[in-house]
Amino acid sequence: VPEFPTIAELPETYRSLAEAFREGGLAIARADIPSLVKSQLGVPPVLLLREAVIRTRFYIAARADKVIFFFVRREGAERVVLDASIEFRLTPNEFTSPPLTMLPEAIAHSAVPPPFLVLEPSAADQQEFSFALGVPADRVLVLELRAGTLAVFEPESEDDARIAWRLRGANAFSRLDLEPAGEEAAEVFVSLARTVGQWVGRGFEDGPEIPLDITAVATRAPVLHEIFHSICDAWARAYNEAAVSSGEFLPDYEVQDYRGSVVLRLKPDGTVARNDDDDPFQLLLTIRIGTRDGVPRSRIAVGPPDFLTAGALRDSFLVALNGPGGFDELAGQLNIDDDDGWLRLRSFLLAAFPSALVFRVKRKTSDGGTDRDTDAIIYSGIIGGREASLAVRADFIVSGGAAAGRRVEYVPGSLKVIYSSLPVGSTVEPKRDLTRYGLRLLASMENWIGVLR
Amino acid sequence: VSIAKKDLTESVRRAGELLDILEKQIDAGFKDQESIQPGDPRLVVLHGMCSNPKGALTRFLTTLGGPAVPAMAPAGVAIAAPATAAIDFGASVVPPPAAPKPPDAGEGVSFSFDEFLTSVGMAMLNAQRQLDERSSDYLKESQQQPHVLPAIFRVPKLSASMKFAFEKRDDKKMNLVFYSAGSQQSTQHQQEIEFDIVSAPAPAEAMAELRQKSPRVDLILDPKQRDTIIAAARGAKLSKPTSKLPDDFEAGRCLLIALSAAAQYLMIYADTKQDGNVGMWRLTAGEPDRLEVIYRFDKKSADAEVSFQVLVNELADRQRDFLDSLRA
Repeated sequence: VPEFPTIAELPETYRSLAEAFREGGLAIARADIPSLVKSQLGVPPVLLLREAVIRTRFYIAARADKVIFFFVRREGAERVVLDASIEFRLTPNEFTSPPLTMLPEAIAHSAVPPPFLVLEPSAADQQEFSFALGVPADRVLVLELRAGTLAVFEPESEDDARIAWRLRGANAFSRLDLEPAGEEAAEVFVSLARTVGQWVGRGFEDGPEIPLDITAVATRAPVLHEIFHSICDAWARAYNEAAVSSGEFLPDYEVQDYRGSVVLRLKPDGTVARNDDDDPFQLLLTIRIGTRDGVPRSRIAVGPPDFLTAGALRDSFLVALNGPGGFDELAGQLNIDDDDGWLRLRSFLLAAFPSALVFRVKRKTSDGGTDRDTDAIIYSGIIGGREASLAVRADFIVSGGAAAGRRVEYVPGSLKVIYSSLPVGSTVEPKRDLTRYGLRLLASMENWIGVLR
Repeated sequence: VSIAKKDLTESVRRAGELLDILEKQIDAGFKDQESIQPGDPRLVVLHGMCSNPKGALTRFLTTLGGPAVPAMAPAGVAIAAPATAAIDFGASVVPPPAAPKPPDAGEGVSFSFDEFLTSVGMAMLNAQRQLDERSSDYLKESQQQPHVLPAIFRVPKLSASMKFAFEKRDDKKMNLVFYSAGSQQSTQHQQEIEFDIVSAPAPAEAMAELRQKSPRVDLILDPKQRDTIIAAARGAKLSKPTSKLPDDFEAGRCLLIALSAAAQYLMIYADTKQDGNVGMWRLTAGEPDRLEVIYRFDKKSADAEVSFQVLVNELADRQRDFLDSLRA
């Protein structure tokens, strides 16, 4: 088994990159000095290394006794647990005074919670949803969705989870059945998906921030805290190294737009998944660090990376699914067998295409850069003069590298309608897939808000 | 863009070819220009070609298999003259093999990060030096043609973007590794860097430091100090009779240099009438002042001495003009 460095050694890598940038820049500037000496011009131009953007990707694995990292995936190496990245810009900056030496411990941390999370519900609301769910209010997660307010208890447990819903403008919360989920519960989860989609579409890293006590992370998630600390330390070391003066021939440099990210693969109970058999749910943790008024500050955000609301990759899924094979299967499952029904279904899909949501609900073993994923797709729109939703689940083969260049193929026969309120064909009661993903998403948010609290 | 070391070398060579093409274009423009009279609209065409050699570059890049050259770098990026050329290495370092090559076993080529940046910087520097030489020729040729804009040519910016793999070295620093085989590239080239090298005005502090550090001899140019030294030399005790200053000694044309020993000065003076008359003395100020000859003014010498005389006279003339301007 190859020996991998521990995560504590990660920061030194980024210090050495910043150092190499300065040394390379100095070598270029020095090589051009002869042209300065012989120049007859007043202020001759010289070659300068102006700016660099560095994007690195690495992998983190937790062993029994330590957390390790590596830059290259190798056959037979550790099973990959977390994908991570660090990117930053090295850019000239004229410091008005010598820059302070940055320490990771001096960073003032803040978090960007999802705007629809209600961190402090009113006393009246607490009383109401506590009564509706039959549980103490402090164990309930509250979300303000577009269509109403959702209160959730124990979303991490499919068997014990409870939800209560208050439609916008209504007076009281009412508890909704999940086993089996009815149409109203299904619409709540569709509304949840749409709200999350809007949030992700706007960029989940932006928004009002609240102070974050990092010691809470250390207590609740020590492995995550170790990774987090290394990413902060990497920033501090790169920043300090870049700011070292290289003499008069080079400007001072500053690390800007520093962003670290870790794709957390979590089991339903919130612990880190070891492999695909754990049915991991992915959350993207991002840490942006910079200085403001001379003080180092971080902004930490968590969002679902597998939630596609727009873009070429999302369109690829929709196009793949709505090819002749996929469409026929869909119409068949909805028991639509006449021309009028086909036409109405196709019109609905076309109209709902721009706002359709695609999210991965299961990831199967990757083989040579090819993934076989199970994705849920939610269409919402107007049909027959009223709002309706259609949710399906299907398997796709995804291959290729960058998101825009990935090839997506639908796996014939894998489509399953998990909910339909369309007034065409048969109505489909919500299947467990829909509620399961919704509850997993809510459970992840509950873990996140637990850290914030 | 992924490159192996041999491809990087090849890219540098091709960058040189690129500049050769640019030069040929400019040469062709010059030839056309010989028949052009002031006011001829073709002058505009010539200038346009110099400032935007996109056609030639695009054609050249097409032969490389790379994409077309992007838009010109914005004006104002350290351009010393109106004519500019932009080479985007991000586009041009694509290493498309002209003929099918046998598949590489996947061996990567490793660079330290600073070594890599320096290599790319050197490629740009070498390209710029070729342009500097051509600029110099162009300036000389255009001196005789008042209707031609004097111009020098700069590569204002190099932008590079590439993917690579990391490899840890024994000293715990990271090396950049470039794989040339397809599968290795796609699985291991997961790191990415973009950088710009620009041609920018040298920092004023750098110029000052350079001037301070560069070796030079300072002539004494303060008129009062000069008058005192010359007066002392005229009245000094001579070490030998032959140490005396020339009869028609012109004070304003005598070069004076302070020696490192206190109160000692080097005096250099050349005749403007007779070839070969150049002398050098050392004055030691004191009680009494002493003047010693280092090289006799009127000593018969080889023709080679005339070259030194010319040098001294050139300096002396400029010094006299400068001192006159101070007095005026």
